[in-house]
Amino acid sequence: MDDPELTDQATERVLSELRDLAERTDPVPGAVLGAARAALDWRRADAELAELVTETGPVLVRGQGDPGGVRLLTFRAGEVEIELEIAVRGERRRVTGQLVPGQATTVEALHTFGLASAEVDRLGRFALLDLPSGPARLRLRLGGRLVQTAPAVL
Amino acid sequence: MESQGLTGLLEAAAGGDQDAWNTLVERYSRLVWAVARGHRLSQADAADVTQATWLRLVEHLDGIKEPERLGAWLATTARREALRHLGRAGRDVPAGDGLDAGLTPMGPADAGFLLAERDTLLWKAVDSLGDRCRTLLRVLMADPPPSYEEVAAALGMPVGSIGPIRGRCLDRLRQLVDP
Repeated sequence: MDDPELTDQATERVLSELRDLAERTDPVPGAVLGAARAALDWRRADAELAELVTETGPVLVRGQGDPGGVRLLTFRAGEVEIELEIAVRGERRRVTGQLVPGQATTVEALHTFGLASAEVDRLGRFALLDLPSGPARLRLRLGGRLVQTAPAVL
Repeated sequence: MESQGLTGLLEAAAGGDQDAWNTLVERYSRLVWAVARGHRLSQADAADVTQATWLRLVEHLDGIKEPERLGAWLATTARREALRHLGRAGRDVPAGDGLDAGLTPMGPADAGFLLAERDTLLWKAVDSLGDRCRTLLRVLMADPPPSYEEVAAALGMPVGSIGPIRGRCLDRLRQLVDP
C-alpha cells in the first residue's frame, strides 16, 4: 500500500523535475518577455476604446489567390466604426480599412515590432499593406478625440 | 505575491510606471507562457497568445477588481486567447483524451537541439497523457508554482476538481517515468 507521505514526496520530486525541465528546455523567449514589457506603451488612458463588435472569417474569396482567406473585423466607439479587412500574405498581413463616418486623418498601427502609419482619405478609406502577423491596435485622431481599437491578432 | 503588493503594482502600472509593470510581467510570464504552450501551440502562436494576454491586461489595468486573483485572471485570458487561436486556424479545439488535432507536440522550444535522454523521456511522457493531463502538467511547470485557482482557470475547470485530476495525472506520469 502506498504511504501517502512517500507518494507526496515522490510527487514533489517529479514536479520539481518538470519545472526544471520547462525552465531549461521551453523557457519564455527573451523576445516574448521584451514584447510583454513594451505592452505598457500600448496604453493610452486618454484614448477612447473602440471595442471589437463583430469578427468574421477567415472567408475564402474565390479567385483572389488568397489561400489564407480574409477576416473582417468591426470596431465601434460610440458612433464611430472602423471596419477592417485582413488578408493573409504568408507571415505578413494586408489590412484595408474603412472609417465610418469617413473623414480624412491618419491611422497608426501599433504592432509587436513597432509602428506603421497610413493616410485615411476623406471618405475614410485606408490601407496598411505590410503588417506583421500578431497582436496589433489602431489609433486614429478624429477631431479632438483619440480613438484606439482594442488589441486584435492580425 | 500578497494582495497589497499586487494592488500597488497594478495601480502604479496603470499610472504608467514601467518598473511596476515589469515586475508583474516577471512574476506571471511563465504562467502565461505555460498556458499557451499547454494548449500545444507552436512557439510563434504561443508568443502571439502571450502578447495578446498582456495587452488585454494593459487594457484593463484600471478595472482589475480582485488583484489577489490576477494570476487566475491572466490564466483565464491566456486560455481564451489560446482557444481563439485554435478556432481561428480551423483546428480542432482539444476536447478530450484520444483526439489528436495534429498540433505541436508538447516539448522543447526547439525540436532541433539535442536533449538529454531523461528530458526527452519526460516530454514524451507528458505528451502521451492526453489533452487534459498535458495542459495541466505544462501549467504545473510554471514558476512560481501556480495555485489551484490558477490551474483551474488555465483549464477552464472548477477549482474543486483540480486536486483529484492533478493527482491522477501526476500518478500516471510517475508510472511512465519512474516505474
